[in-house]
Amino acid sequence: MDSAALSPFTDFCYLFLSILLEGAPFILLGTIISGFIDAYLPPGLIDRWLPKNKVVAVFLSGLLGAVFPVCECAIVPVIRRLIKKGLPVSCAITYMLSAPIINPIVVISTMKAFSSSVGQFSLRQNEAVEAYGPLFMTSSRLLIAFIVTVGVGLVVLKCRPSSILKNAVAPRPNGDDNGGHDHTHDASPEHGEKPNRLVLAMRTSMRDFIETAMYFSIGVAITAVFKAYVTEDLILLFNQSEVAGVGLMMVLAFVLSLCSTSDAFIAANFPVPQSAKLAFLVFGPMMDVKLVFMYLSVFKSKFVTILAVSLFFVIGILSYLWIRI
Amino acid sequence: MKKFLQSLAILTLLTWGGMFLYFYATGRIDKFLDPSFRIYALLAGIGMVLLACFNFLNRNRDTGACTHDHGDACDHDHHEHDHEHGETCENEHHDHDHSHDHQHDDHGHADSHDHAHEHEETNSGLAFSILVLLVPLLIATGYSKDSFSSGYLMKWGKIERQMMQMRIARDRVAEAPSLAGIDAADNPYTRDGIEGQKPTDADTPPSPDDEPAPTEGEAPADDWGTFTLEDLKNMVPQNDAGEFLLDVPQIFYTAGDRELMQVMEGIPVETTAQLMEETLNNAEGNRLKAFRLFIECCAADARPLSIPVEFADSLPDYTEMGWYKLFGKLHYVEEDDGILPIIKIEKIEKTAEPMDGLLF
Repeated sequence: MDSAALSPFTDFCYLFLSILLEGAPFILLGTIISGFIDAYLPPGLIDRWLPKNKVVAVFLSGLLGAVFPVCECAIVPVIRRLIKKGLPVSCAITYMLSAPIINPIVVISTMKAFSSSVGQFSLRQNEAVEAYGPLFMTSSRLLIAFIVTVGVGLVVLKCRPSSILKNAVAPRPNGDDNGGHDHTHDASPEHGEKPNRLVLAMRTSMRDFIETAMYFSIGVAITAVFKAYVTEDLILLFNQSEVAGVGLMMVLAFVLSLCSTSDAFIAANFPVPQSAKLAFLVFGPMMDVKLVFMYLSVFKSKFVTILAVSLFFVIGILSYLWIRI
Repeated sequence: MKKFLQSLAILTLLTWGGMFLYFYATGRIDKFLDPSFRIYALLAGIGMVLLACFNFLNRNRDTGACTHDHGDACDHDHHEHDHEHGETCENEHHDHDHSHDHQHDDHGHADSHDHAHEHEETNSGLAFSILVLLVPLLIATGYSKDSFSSGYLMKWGKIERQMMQMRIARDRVAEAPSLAGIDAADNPYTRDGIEGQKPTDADTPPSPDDEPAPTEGEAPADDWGTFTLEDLKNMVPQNDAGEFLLDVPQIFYTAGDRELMQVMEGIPVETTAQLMEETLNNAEGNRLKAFRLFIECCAADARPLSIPVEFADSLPDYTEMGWYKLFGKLHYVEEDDGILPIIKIEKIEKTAEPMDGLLF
């Protein structure tokens, strides 16, 4: 390799492709699942399954992602539809925030990302080189996400939906939204044919993939630019203190707008304290640049602002304390 | 327009799938991903191609479900609207005809509009998505050299080393490890190693089994609590000259571990690494940097782990970022409030890039 031909731009290309090759398979998997949920899961079904006790329902909603995994890009339109169909807003928000983290795909990808093989270089066979190994980081991510999202859900339980939701999204008394242009009619007279759910699922998958992969590509490009062009002095800023590292990593998660199925691969080896990585992994899937715009299609801007600020501080504090515990 | 964009979306997916398959089939992927991730890339490539083909073959099929959502972007209430399904709706997700003859009066739009604006937004959004998906991918594929520049390695290598020094500094505060008492002259194993002889009974430290039980209040040592030369020999192969065949990362991670440093101070080593200019603590100009790239998942997390190598006199002729076999003795030095492993070089040999050039 002619070293003269190598430049920060070729570094950018190399970095960009490597993250893309690594993360896109998980996005594809997520969007295919999302497509099948969209086509085969009736919107009212989740609501029927939820217990009548609202607090218990919020707790269960925090775990729904384990059964109905949807990434953060795909979940916003799903949630918008479910709210219109009458799903309680507290449950919907809890599910919306938790599902991108508390789902099997993210568990697998986080485990993979933090399955550090640095231990192979250790001359001490039993050394816990990764005291913060994959299981610890994955379970920490899930636990803190669950606590935070259920907490948000319980707070929202006390709020009037009209103070949170945009008018167009507010649920109808009978859950009927046919007039709201969110058509789910199976076969109108014009259609004539029986619905083909497989085709719908595949179309939705492709559409979701195109949309999600676009946000992912932008995030990857920003990450690649950052890694290729940033100076070491700026990186070392992240390590000046743990508190600063936690805050800066959450800002980074906000800016990078990475998909929750692949963000762990970026966080895993970022040279920052573990608490900062944890904060990055919990905060990012709940609040980032692209999500702010998507949330604004469902929620009032005041609510989105309060949510963003609250999540920033609560997740930061919990991540900082959790690693210490 | 709708059909064109739908076809473009299918083509985009096909391009992505094809690109994944290309990287896998040509072996370029070896420079990008950890072996365990390569199969995912292959499956993703196949999946994307299949998804694109399925959607292409069914591009004219009516799903019977209208999945678009007209109302939310302008945040108005459509519940009082009359729908007259007569005009053509150009939304990409359904092929049926219907109209939007709205008589809504609860939003700021003109009374009679046909939502063409939103469909245009959808189309332009899709067009933008496709642009973002294709352009950077194709440019990056064309321009990537599948390798990092020396500037990148220098920068991230410095960060790795400083991170290690910061960790050691933190440990020092907690445990106060230092180099006090660590001296090659006091290391009974060093002479043995240098001579390439088997250790004598006198040199062999007592095994953990022979050690007295920990006294009350003392934490019991685990199996590897006392690291010995025997442990090192059991784990690390030696060449014919008795030099330990260690990788740079193995050496790198011994810094700060007092027991390891006690055993390894002064031992003869052989390592294969790339050489670069040493920019840190090189006032006399007789040091180079030996580094290896260690990849956890993908090249983006590649960590250039490096140690300084010191020559007795001036630097030899070398090729920047070239591969070399390095022979010398391992030492630990205190610099910048940290502890650095350093190889005092006795001989270097140019070599080809090993099969495991990238460490996964």
